[in-house]
Amino acid sequence: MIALLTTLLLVSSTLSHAAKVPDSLPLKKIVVDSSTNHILDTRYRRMPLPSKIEMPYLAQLRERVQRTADLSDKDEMQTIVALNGWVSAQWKHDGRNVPPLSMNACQILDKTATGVRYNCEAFARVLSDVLIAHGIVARVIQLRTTDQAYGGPGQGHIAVEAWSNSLKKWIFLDPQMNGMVLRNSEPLNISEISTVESDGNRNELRFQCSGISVEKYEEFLLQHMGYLITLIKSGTRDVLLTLSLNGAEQFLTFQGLPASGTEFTTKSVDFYPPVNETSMSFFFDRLISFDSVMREYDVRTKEDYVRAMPLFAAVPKFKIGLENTMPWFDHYEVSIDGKQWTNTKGAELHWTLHEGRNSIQVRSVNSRQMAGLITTMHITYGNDGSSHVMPGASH
Amino acid sequence: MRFLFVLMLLACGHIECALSAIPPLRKLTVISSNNHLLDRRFGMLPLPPSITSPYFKALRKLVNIDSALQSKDELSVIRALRHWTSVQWEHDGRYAPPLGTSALQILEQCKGGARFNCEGYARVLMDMLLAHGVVARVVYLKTKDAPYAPPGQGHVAVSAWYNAEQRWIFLDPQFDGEVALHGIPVSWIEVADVIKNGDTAGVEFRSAKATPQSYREFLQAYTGYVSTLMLIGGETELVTYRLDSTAKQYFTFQGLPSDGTTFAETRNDFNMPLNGTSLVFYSTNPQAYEQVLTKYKIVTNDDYMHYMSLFTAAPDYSVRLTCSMPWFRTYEYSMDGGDWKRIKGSRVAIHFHNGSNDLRVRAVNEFGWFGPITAMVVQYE
Repeated sequence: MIALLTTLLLVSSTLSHAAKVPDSLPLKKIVVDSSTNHILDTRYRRMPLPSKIEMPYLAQLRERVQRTADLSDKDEMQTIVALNGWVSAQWKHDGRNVPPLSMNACQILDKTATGVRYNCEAFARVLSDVLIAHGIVARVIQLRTTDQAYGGPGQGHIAVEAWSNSLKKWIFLDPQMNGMVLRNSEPLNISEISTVESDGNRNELRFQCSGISVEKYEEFLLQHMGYLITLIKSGTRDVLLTLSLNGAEQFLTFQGLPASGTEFTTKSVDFYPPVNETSMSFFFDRLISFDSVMREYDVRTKEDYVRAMPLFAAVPKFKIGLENTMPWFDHYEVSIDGKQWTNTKGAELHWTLHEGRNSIQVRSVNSRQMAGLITTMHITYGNDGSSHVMPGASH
Repeated sequence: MRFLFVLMLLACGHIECALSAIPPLRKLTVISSNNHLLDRRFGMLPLPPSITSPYFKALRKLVNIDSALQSKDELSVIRALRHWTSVQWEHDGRYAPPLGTSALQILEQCKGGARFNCEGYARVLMDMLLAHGVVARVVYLKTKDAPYAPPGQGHVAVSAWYNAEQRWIFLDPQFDGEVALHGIPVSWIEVADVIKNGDTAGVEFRSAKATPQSYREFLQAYTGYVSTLMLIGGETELVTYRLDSTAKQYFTFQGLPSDGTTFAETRNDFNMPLNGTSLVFYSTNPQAYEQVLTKYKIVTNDDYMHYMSLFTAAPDYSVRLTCSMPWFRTYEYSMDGGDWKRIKGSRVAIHFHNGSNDLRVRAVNEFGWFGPITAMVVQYE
């Protein structure tokens, strides 16, 4: 591919030799009409997700949920909402009781089945693992007030954010109160909620919850819009990535105690890396070098080059390399010209364009068979009706 | 680290506490800070792992830019290298150096009378900058019509990271040129903005070989796309950023296959920041929330606030440093405007004294260039 970079050569147009090519061949062009294909954002790799979801613990958790939660025929968003509701109904909140860090979601649920009650953190830890067990990328988040540095206890709330493939973004879930926040019927994440509120459009937010009045929930949640925090990997250890909301300053303490291991960002994309995307890199089956074109077609001038172009122009027969940002990736799928999705059986596929309008769609599928975002390209191949002769060129 | 989440416990109820002689609360407050999570995408740059190899030593021996080096001014060194490269041969647009020809070999051939095009200059300048510790890459500027237009749709130049301004800057060794906005050299993406917007105020097209007007006229054609090589999935691919919102993605360049091209969506995907340093603070006297509650017999929020000065964070931290600097050598820090001190390893002990503390940290590379300074002002009182 690097060889092609040399084709930037500037050819002198002052030479008078004529190329020995016909005067009027049609030039078939490959034109990208539209594309969502782009290089991938790899920041998601810093999320401390389990390396695989086909493990006994998550299988056990999944089985446990599905004993009482009917997820059949539910799409992704309905599944997320149902799981949020399921977790919120497992016990009554008790803010004084935090589950030890050593307890996993199954162990917390074992305890709550015997009448033990836990705080918001327990709800969040259980929902995050339940979502992951179902193939949905999720993480625990912490919301803090602007007074969190030296305010007393109660400056924070713990919840979950999950990646929605259908909405192509992260959304906020509050399993303690079966809560979500919507705008125009679309679930929002915390950064979006904070922006809507700080833009003075609070009346556009729709708060959904259980066990508490909507008004109280709204007040409670908006009180905690100082900072948004989640765990990310930093070298060999985890740190707390903190997104300052509402212009809040950085801090070294939390409720008066040391806030060790905190990193700050002001960029929403650092906190909300896209996941489950697929990208394509196109490689031609047949490469032609600029120098060989010059020799073969006796090209001396720009006019020669343009006249000869139909003879050497790129032929759209591709090998396509695939990349993804999908945790728990299983396989790629492709759909050509709107036909059925098929498994590519590898990270590479071959595609030859036909004349006219072509389309290609690719997506990644995880080991729970959940498909990620679709990358689509529409490409036209053929004579676009424009002249293949350089404007103003003399024959 | 998940232990931090347990601090959310909402205490309630009432008990009697018998502690007395509570000192006033002394707070640590971050007054200002540019300490942020680092952008790790600098790892996509296909840079050599080290600049101490014999190849780069040999390149350094070829140039005499002592006065610029003595000035210790990064931009002076960059410009001196650009000028040096620009006068090594007379431009000849017909000849691109063959692939696999190193900067040393190009220069050898030029001594024998060979002449090369813009790409030859760019490849030599890039390696010369790398040899002098400046992060640089070749950039391929293309016209909007590049997919199917005749030859002449591209110009090859260099983009280098300029620490003092924390930006990539456009360097044109064929023309010994650059473009400045309000006196500061800027990247090709910014130059394209200026050209497209028709801006003239504060814009300078600088070249030692062309007039400002003719240089601007030459460059303004190449505002369709800019490409550079990046590492994607372990492979070197040509990443392209569309400078014009109406420019479409493409598969061809001048009618020929443009293999392996991938498109960047955002400017930062193309011009990612680098050479930054980030600080993560770890208390040397960590206290668990539960232990505090037990030790001071705290049950209510009022108890907690009342006794906070007894258990609040001490101003002593072990600070872990990370950086986004290729060819990293060491960290340095300065307190309250004092001299820069070298840090052994990637940890430094920081004690915040009473009053305002001015903490600055920077990374230094193998050549001795230091990256952008991370500065924090922390009040302790």
